[in-house]
Amino acid sequence: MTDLLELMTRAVAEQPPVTITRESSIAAGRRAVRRRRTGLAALSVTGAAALVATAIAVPRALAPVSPPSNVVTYPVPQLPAAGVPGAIDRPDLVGSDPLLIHFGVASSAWPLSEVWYSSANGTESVRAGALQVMLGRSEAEPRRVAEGTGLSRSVTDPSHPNASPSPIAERHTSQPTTVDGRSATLFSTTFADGTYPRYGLLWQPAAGLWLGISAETETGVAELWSDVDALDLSRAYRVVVPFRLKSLPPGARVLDCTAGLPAAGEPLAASFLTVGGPDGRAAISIGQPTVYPAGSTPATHGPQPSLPAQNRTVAGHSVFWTGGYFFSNDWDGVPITVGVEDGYGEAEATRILAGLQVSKNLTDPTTWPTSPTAG
Amino acid sequence: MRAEAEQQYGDYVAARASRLVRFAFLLCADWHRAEDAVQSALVKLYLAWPRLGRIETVDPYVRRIIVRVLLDHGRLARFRRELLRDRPPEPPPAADGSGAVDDRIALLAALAALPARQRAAVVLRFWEDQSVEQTAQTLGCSAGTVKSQTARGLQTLRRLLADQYLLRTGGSDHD
Repeated sequence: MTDLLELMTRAVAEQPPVTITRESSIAAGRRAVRRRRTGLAALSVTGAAALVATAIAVPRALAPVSPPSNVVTYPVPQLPAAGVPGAIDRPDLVGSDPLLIHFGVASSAWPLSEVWYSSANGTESVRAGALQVMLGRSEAEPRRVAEGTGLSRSVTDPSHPNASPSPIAERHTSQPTTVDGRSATLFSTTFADGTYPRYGLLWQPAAGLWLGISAETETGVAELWSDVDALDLSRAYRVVVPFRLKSLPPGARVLDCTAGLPAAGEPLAASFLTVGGPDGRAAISIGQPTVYPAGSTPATHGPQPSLPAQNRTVAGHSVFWTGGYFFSNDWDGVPITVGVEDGYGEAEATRILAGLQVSKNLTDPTTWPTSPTAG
Repeated sequence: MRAEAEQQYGDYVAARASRLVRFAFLLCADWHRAEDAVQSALVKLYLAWPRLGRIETVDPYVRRIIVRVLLDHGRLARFRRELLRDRPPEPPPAADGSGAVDDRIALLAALAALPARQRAAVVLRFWEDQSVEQTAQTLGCSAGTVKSQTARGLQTLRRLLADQYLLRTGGSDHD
């Protein structure tokens, strides 16, 4: 008879020697401090240009706080969509096209390894590090982001690990403020132990448009205002994924897209695309290894358990098919999955997978297809 | 950072790094990625150390960063299979129960079948021995959500592993 803790203990029993040391961590920490001090200077040309554009497009928020002149920011990768109006001019377009968002965030006050773009059902969102921005044609979702929920924190006395945890005193506030001359509400949650305070902001940048922004901050509310300054509602940006689907079931179109763009120096980001129509739906992911050793022998390559023995061949690639999903951790060098439901079956999944063409350059979104289903 | 504080930070790393990597491994099933996540968390910890400095504050902070790195904004959230899947994969086949490798594979496969938040809740509760409230703090959700996520996660684990193992969790799933 085995309990869960015993199983977990066995699962980690083959831990290889840890390379993290006191010295390496201190050295990495010192480098991070230096990067922070020089972070602004390290902005990429693209990021800097975008920041300049932002400064022109959106005047500095009229906030009752000190300007965030000393906040270190990190460029957010984004792809401008030429000729497409921004949300400030066309609120009705927000969340209407899964391959477009009608606002941009040029930088984040929180380090990030990737940024995720998503557009659907009247809302558009950007997540970058601890920053989340939600733009919507109704108030509910942006308000949820701005207010935040479930942030209660507590600690347990280490000398009495079985004692009930003591809640960390926290303080919630909301106060009126303005953003670009418009009425706004500033939400904050601060904690008595000094850990990351969180700030949110909700306002209507235009009639019929709500914007909620949430930022976890290390230094305080100035980081939030820095993020607000980085917003640009006058331009649209492309939501792109590093692959193309050259073969779709009849009538299928893009229904939803969550696109991950890697920050400079980062590897491939995970992206997700849903296509379909009245006959069914299919979800395609890339950049996300699958750990699913059902029926498998132990790992034959790599540090993690391998997939089971492949049981299908699609377009010359060996893949594993089970339960409505194709899995491969090495489709032209990257992990992919294709799942089908609501009427689609293996035939449709095979058709989609056979037409999957992964971009050669996985880190430069400017080289990715404009549309994942075109041509 | 002042020398004394840096010394304390170094002591913390030396004492905790290995265990933190094991925690991260249970979340991602990849030793390399686990080390990356822990290293990222420790760099952030270095930056925040002057404001933390108490162990009861540091551990939750580091766990939270690791979870965030691996599951939320993750480098790069590679376990977000739940975005694609509304039903669990088929159960792993019965292991013969005689080998540690089978145990390891079976457990990792079962954990991998859980949605990310359920997996994190289960690992925090039963590996890190965190209370519901502490787990909620780490995951940035309510205590009620932790209870439901944990219960669902355990239910799935039991279903996936029931043929090989009789799971005991040392208490109520809803504690």
